Amino acid sequence: MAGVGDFYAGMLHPLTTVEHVLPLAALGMLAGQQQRSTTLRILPAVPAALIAGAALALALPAPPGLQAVTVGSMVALGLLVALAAALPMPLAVFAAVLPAAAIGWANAAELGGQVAAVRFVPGVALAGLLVVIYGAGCVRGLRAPWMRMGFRVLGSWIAALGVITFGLQ
Amino acid sequence: MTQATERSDYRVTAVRLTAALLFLLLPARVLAHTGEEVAAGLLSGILHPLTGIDHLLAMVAVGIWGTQLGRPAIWLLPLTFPLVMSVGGVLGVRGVPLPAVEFGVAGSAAALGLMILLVARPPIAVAAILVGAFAIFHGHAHGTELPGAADPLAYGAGFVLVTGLLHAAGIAIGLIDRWPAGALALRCAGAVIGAVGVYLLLGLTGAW
Repeated sequence: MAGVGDFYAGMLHPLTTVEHVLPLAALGMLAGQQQRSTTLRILPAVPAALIAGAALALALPAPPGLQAVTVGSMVALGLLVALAAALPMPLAVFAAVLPAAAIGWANAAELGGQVAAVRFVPGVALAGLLVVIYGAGCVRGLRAPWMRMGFRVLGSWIAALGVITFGLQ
Repeated sequence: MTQATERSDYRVTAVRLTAALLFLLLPARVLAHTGEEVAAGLLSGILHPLTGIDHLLAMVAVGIWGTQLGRPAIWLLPLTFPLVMSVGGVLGVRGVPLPAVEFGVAGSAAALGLMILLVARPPIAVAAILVGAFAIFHGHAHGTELPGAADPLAYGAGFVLVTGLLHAAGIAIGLIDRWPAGALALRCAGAVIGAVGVYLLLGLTGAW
């Protein structure tokens, strides 16, 4: 089927970059740590923000601090997961939308050549949604105390990798 | 289930767990001798904490001490350690000098071994600051020894991951603290870790 490769390229793209897949994974775990109603707001906000960020990338030149936002969100979201912070709804949605938009932007900014954005970007959004659903599902499903602790430790690992990535730039 | 069979079940599980953990160390030891070929970032990052006996013992000691202290230390120490270590790692990769790094690493094994031996129970903030200070040294040592050909981020991912798994191994070992004989065994292990740490320290001073 013509063009389906672009969709798969879009799905694969955010998963092959550390500073894209780890903030999304942290975001999913953070979503799972929130109240159910907040989780259900975060999940659809992620693909929407990914698409919105990608749309901006197609219209505007890449802003200079884009990578700082994606790497910084690794640190921030990892820390929030480590703290198992219960966030107020608007803040939780903001914590999801800002990194997701930056990730969407960064992914679409690298588009070029034969790849059609109209097929690539939905792939990015679907991959992001799947990662977040998976993270949230794991946290909500595995509720044994030591497993909750395990997710928090994973959050601190992600934040640590963010610090390393940040420090190496 | 009777108490006796329950106990032997635990024993079988403990033996299996120990065997599995030892197995994890085996290939790392073997591969370490191939030298330059394992310079790929992730692998060398994974190997670095495993092939340095000072790192390995200190990380397992963090887990064991955490279980002795109970909650919240059992999770607070493994939670703060990677974060602080990453800061030390960046300093190391960037070449920012830190005085007496090797003393800090060997000293951490000595000090943590002593804490386990004494079953020391300082306030949780003191324990976290102590372990955090050691984490800076460990991270710095990992960072400075980044192989030239390796990708720094993959290397960082490797040593963060393995450090965390060593904490988990320490916590798994520390679970025997619930039995009196196990608690005694832990204190003996602490003595051994501390002794190795002191030996390494003496080696660094040249007194040995």
